[in-house]
Amino acid sequence: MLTVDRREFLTAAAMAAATAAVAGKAKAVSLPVMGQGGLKWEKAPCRFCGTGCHVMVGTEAGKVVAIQGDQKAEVNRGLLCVKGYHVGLAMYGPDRLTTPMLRKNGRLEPITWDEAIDVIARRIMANPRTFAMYGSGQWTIPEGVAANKFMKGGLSNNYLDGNPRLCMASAVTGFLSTFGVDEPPGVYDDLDVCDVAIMWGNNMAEMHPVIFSRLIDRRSRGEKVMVIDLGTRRTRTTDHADEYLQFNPQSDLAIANGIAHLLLKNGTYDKRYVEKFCNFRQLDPEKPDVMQGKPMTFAEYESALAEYTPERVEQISGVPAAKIRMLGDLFGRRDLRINSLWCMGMNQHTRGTAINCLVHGIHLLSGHLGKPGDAATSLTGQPSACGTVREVGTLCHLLPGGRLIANEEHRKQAEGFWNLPEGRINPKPGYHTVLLFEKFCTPTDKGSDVQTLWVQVTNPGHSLPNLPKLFRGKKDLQDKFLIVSDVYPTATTELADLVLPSAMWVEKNGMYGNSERRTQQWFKMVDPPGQARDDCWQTIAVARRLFDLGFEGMKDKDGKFLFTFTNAKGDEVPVWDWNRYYDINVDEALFESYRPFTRMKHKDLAPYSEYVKARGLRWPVVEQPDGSWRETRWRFSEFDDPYVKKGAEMQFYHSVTKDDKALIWFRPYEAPPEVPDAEYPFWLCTGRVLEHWHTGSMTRRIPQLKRAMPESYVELNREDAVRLGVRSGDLVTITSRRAAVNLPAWIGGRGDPPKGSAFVPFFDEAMLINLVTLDAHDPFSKQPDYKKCAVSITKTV
Amino acid sequence: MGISGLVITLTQRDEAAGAALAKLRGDPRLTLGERNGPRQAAVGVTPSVEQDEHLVADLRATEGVVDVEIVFVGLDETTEHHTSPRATGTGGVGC
Ligand code: SF4
Repeated sequence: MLTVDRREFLTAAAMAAATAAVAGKAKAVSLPVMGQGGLKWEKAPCRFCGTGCHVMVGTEAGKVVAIQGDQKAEVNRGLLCVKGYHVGLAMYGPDRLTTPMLRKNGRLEPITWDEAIDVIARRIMANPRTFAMYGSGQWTIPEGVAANKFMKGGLSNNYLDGNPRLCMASAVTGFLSTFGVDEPPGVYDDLDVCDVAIMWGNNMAEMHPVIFSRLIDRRSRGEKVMVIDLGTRRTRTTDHADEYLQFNPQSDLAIANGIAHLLLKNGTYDKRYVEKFCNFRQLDPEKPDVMQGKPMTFAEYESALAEYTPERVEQISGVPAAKIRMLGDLFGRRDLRINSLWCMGMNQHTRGTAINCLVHGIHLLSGHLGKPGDAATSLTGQPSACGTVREVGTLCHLLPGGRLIANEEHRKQAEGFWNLPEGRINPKPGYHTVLLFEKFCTPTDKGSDVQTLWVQVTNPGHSLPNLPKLFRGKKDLQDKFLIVSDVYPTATTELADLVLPSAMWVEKNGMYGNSERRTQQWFKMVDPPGQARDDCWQTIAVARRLFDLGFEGMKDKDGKFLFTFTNAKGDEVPVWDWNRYYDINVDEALFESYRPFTRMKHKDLAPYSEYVKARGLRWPVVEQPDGSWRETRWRFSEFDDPYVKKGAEMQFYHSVTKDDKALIWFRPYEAPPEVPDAEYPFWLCTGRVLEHWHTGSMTRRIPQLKRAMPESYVELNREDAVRLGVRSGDLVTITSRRAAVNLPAWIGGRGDPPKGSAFVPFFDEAMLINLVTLDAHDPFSKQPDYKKCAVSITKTV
Repeated sequence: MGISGLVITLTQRDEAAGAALAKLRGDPRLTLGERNGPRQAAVGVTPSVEQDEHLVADLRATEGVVDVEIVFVGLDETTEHHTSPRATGTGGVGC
């Protein structure tokens, strides 16, 4: 029960928050403080999505007892979404994993941490080349730094990939192809000044509600902001849109080409901008698998676009020609500021790299890039997909700081920063996610070279596509060993041979990097339950055990342990001993060891202590003559980016063509690999809902969120439902070429798919829609397409 | 115990806003705070988080109330926990 003191206190805090909010969202609030030993407030980024809202966390007697939107945070200005308000409860589900468990005779049985660490180390010792690690955009930055160094610098093994491969990889290849460097040039501030916001297959009202509310707020203040929803189904975003343009799955490529065609045909493209800052590019038909492609002239570009007339685009996409013209006219206007926003709709796409490039292309062609409000913005789903995976480089082909494993100079440089002997880093990239799991589910005698897989902070047994092939295949393979570090039992722990209980969120120190290049920091506030321990500690403890067993790779070139840290007095601290792990700030030490990498691609990060003071800082963060550190909002723009030469106006200083110009790509419309036919006549699209975060392993344990959205469903079009004889609540069977799943139907619900298509959210472990989805992926980003496959739908008997 | 900080946005129509405000004042679950234009600060206190959700739903359904934002949530240490969502197991048909 709440004590009277605490009740009074929380009531006062609630009133303070509400009063501050009515007075104006930007106003900071002074939170009341309880007496000595009472409730304490500290800042942290929200545990869930890539928006990166900050919360104020109230703790008392070792527990999180209150959550408030942080009024000092620029990202959310005191607001949170329903998940954010309940984030504290994510830690207190009834079935937290609290002890290491090893599978013996088919059952998971408790073991000690010492035994668990020993099991992993001995499996690696026996065969270091067949060990793999699968991480996450929920890894903190230091956790990613440790895993990357352990695998690539210690084991000389690049079998390390992360789940952002499933959500952000096409955005990465799109940025790299266009600008030569990853991550958006713009920031959330663009939402505050744009005149037009275009959602490209993006249900921002549900997936990024806090920053979507900036647009709605502006409207409520009487500002004119046009919202265009380009989608394959009606969603809550559609409810706020001035224009809803429904397109056929995959045809976003044709729409983007149609806009470019009109800009050229009408002469409304920005000639000066294009001549000064852009080159043209296409794939080389001789080498179609080379992402860099080959140059094309303006005339060739114009001719390639010639077939994308509004009428032709209407045929492909279903969007009326007049609306394509409307989009072309908007982009042709110099007096408007246009912000394109996308997330999984454009990324989970077998032509994800292409559509990302095309959207950047129409912004470049029309000069709508580089001024506040004129931006092409990809949004992320995970809290640190950018910070930990894209920046730290926890993917199979990357080194920290955007450096490449395949590049000898980059490897040498990383070996220098890590103080490793020359040649330690293996020059061969590892396996991307789909291939990694395919290998893991293939018997060793059938050519697989992945035998032991350690999964941290993610749930691939639920989130991978085509689960029968990419995950369930492990089930009967005796020679495979799955290690899972997590906070709750999941679909992944179900097949695990070793389960390690992890600390989560404010039970440990951490740093995240959000969608707008903002690096955030927080301190541990409460202890994890039982024997749960930090993932970073787990990695270091295994590394140390290998060192003690004589594994050469765990030594640097001076023979010292790879993770040697000292305290203020210069004494070595044995952080592999859990009792000593918090004697120093391991996060700070790892972060500072990583910072030199970040300068290589002008993604400079400030010292750790700067992040302690701030609600995040957007890189590049550059030291000023007075010793202060300045963040950058608009990259490549002279007025804000310190790396742009004086007088240049715009400078794409990592340009693929090495002339400071960005690339405008031509990529044709291409049909998806699986389309509805007589046997499987429906399109299936999968996605998320406001109340649950991704696989629901945390949010489904929060009673308020579980009650608000208890189970999954399939959204059906009313006409289809009538034809199938299905009413809301009836159970239907969705069958693809891969598997079948039963789900209750929802007609006229939150979303409304067009005739011939259906939508299923993927959060519900009891109705695993990823048994049904397709593992076809983009050839460059290797990101699978969860947004379209062919299924049949029947009423379940 | 559910404790929430709320911002209740009232309609611009004076009469309806006045009626809504009178209703809010009479609700024993609410303590009203400062008002700034149509935005009214309030704290909701209910015996359980479930009833807290009902309060918000009731407010949203009140005539003259345009929007309800939750800006603070006090987490009850005895929050009722249901069984693990894994109780039903992972599911597909014939998998
Ligand atoms: S889930 Fe995302 S939008 Fe919601 S509070 Fe957390 S960071 Fe913000």
